[in-house]
Amino acid sequence: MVINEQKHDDIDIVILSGRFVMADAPEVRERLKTLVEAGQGKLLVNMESVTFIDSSACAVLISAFKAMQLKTGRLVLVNSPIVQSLIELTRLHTVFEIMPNAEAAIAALAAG
Amino acid sequence: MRILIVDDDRVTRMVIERSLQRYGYETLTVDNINAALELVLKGVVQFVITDWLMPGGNGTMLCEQIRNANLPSYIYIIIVTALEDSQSVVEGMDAGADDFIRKPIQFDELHARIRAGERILQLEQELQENNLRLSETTNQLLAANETINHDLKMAATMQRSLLPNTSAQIQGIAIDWLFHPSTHLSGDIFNFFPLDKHHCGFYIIDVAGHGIASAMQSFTLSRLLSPDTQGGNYLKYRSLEAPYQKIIQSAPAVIAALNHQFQTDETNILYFTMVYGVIDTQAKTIELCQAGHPSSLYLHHNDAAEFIDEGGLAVGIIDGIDYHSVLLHYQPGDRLFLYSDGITECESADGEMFGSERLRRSVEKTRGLSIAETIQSLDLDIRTWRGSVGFDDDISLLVLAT
Repeated sequence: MVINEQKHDDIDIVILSGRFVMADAPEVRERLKTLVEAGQGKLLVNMESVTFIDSSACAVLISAFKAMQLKTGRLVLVNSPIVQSLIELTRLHTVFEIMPNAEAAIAALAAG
Repeated sequence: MRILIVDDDRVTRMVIERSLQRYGYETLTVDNINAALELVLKGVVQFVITDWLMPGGNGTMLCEQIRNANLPSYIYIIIVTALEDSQSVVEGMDAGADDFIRKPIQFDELHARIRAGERILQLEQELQENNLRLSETTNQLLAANETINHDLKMAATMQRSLLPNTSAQIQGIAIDWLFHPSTHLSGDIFNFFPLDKHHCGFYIIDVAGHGIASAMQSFTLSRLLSPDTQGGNYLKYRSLEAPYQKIIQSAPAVIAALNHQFQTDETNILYFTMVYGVIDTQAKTIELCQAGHPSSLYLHHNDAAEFIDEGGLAVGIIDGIDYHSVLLHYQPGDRLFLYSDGITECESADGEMFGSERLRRSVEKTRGLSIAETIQSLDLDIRTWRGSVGFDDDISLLVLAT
């Protein structure tokens, strides 16, 4: 799995691609943790190019989401179809803020 | 470093020897191949400077014999050849010589070539030491791995012993199961047990991830969800009025209590999905509560298999949320299938997931089979789909037969 980071004004963007499974979890967890702590409460995790996620990956996303909530910040996800369906299976779509694409996500985060 | 000088001419031997000694090297001299080989095999020299043409055996033979001897350390060989003779150089180096020098010998050139040879021997020495260290490390790793594997196998046996007994029915309900951890230990656990004379409870839990941490969480939950523990208990509570007997907790209440107790945080991010059910064997009902878990599959004895989709969020994510249950009325011959997503998300060699539709068809196929045969049939379908490789995620399935 490949991790890329970008910044758009005060919005931190993490772009993941490939398979996001247990072996990738520690590294992603660290990166997200750093961004949540150091950022300004606006984080976009773009998984449009993620081909598969497992429960370890979801655990990492939930952990970042909860940490962000403690900072009264926002974590927004953009999902590939397969990631979306796997997230819906555990009903996590009722927890996460999910946007259809990166532009919409950035607009939503910028609006505050 | 000790250098062996091989030459049948006494004067040549002395001249080379004197020159090398002036450069500070220790030397030995012989006048024939056999004596040379004997000294090399004894391990007393690391370097050989040999003439090419000698009575009783030439340089090719010596080189071949040294190389074939498979000595513990490398022997550096320089052959001394006549100016007009280029064939011996090719022959000699093919036979294993490392370098050559022409007669009459220019001694500063010989010295330079010897120094080059020393560098090679130094490299070889370092390589040997490295290999020894690697060998030792490898052995240590293998031994440690042995121990860990042994520990894991014991733990796996313990985990398996927590799984419910399949041979005895409880209040007329029989069960069987499939349990394939992806590594030694599974992050899945399930159980089936009596709650009182007319009630049984069952659950399946899938802790996020797989492997040791997930398995440890599954052990904890398994212990907590036992109806026999005295005092505080998730599955039953003592009524506050006489006769103060134990009352069975509703399925949503059990999951809500677990949700409160096991909220994920910085130190533990492992949430879990679960299904918990209470069967009333008198009223013939099943109160089912699902939390983020793959939909249970109900096989009516006289109707198509259907997924039970009602459910809430996985456990440990958001505290204080409400969970709801669905009440099923069962008839004799009906079967309920609980399973973990290791089955539906199981990928074939082409990367296609097994999926819930395929599971439904596999379950439909088991109509009329005994539950043991049902488990075998499902096991075969999943394994055939997967092919020969091991599973990426834990495989669990529990079937309850009324």
